[in-house]
Amino acid sequence: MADFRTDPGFLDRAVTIHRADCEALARTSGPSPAETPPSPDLDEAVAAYVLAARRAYDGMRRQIGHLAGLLILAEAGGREVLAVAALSDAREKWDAIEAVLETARTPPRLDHHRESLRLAHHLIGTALSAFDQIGLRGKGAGPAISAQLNGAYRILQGIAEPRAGMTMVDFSHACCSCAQHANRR
Amino acid sequence: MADYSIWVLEYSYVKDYHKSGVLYGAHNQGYVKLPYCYVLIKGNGHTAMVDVGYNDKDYGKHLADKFGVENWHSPKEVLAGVGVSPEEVDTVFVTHSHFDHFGNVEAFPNAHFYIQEREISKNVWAMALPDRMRWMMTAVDPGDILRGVGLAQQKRLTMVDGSLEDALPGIDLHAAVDSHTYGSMWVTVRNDGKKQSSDTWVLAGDLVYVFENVEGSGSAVDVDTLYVPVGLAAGSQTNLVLATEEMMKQTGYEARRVIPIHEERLKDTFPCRITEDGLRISEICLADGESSKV
Ligand SMILES: [Zn+2]
Repeated sequence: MADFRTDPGFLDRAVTIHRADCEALARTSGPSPAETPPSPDLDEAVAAYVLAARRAYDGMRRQIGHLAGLLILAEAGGREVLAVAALSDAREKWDAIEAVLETARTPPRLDHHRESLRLAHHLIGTALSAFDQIGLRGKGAGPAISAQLNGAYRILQGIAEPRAGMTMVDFSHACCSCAQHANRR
Repeated sequence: MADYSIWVLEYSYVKDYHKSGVLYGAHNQGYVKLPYCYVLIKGNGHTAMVDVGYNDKDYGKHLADKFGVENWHSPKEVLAGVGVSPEEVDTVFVTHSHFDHFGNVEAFPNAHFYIQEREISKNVWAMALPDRMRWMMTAVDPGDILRGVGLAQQKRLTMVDGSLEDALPGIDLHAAVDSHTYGSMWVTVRNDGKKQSSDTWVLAGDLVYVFENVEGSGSAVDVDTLYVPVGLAAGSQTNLVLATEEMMKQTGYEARRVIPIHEERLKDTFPCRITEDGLRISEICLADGESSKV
């Protein structure tokens, strides 16, 4: 997803949220990074698409982690497996992501990006259906489900765009996050 | 007599890291170097790791560009510094699921892995929450969870529920629930093998980043030192302090025996050397008959 004709800092700021007590925040004034409005010269169509795509991307990223975690618990004997969020929640989320993908207006040059998102979404849906059939304690379908999830992960990783907040790991509060300010002094 | 050798192996670092990230409330106190390390434990016929680092191919460039993480080297290169290959590692204790600790399991093809069950189950819960609560998934790579599925399917993953004594002879695992993460774990090596050991080392994962987390200045409250928890807690700073007390108790309140792996000043406390790759090897202790690697 190249070619954001944007204030290069905007997308960065939009996805960088610090702890409330972070020194990097204290040094800046004005609206918090998450609230910073797009700069006027931002291509509006691209910006609108990016916001929608990011929601879908992040939702799927977490769905993969959610389902993979359930698989581990099913496979390695998780005591708490039945207490964690049920599959119906996952299905609801999957539906919500579908709605985002359906309604997002895609600038022509980003068509392939949305196609990739759709494909990942489809794979997660297939994994979800398989999970529905075997249940949380079920075994046997594990390898097929993890293959689908791995496929979806690879697609998302392949279209990762850190500047647009689409990465498979949210580093924005991680151990290393506050270094970025230092790094740019 | 000592059963195990322990080395802290640096595999990457950030040169300028905000001090407030490693020490709760340390605002405007400048920058420190933040090394990224894992631990090798060798002895009793075993070669074990505490954490496995991350794989640079996945997001190394992003970490370098954005966060200043530099000089990453693979486990093959890093472990060579103490004469070990990743294939020899038979056991890995994963202290928590952050990418820089759990992100390179495929580099250890023959190892059996241990992680707290709660670290998985509570992350599953967190990942199912609404978008606005996504903070709780900070630094967790779903790809690592997927690789965990692979381990589980190969019967190479043991989920630990709380404490586990003698995971390897003389090596215990302990949970710090809802602290740095939901199911953080520390590793205790009783190096004389005794139940009431007088030679205990604690490998603290991210429950302690730097010495001040254990021996912070207490001058403001008129005591010599106090525990100051790390900045990042998915659980609470209270639970971090409680875990610190537990770890300290296990070492007979000898602070130098609680090993923080993000601490650059291990060099002032333990023998060490810098490798050709510019990374530090800190030698915490040596098993009987083992030769120094520094
Ligand atoms: Zn961590």
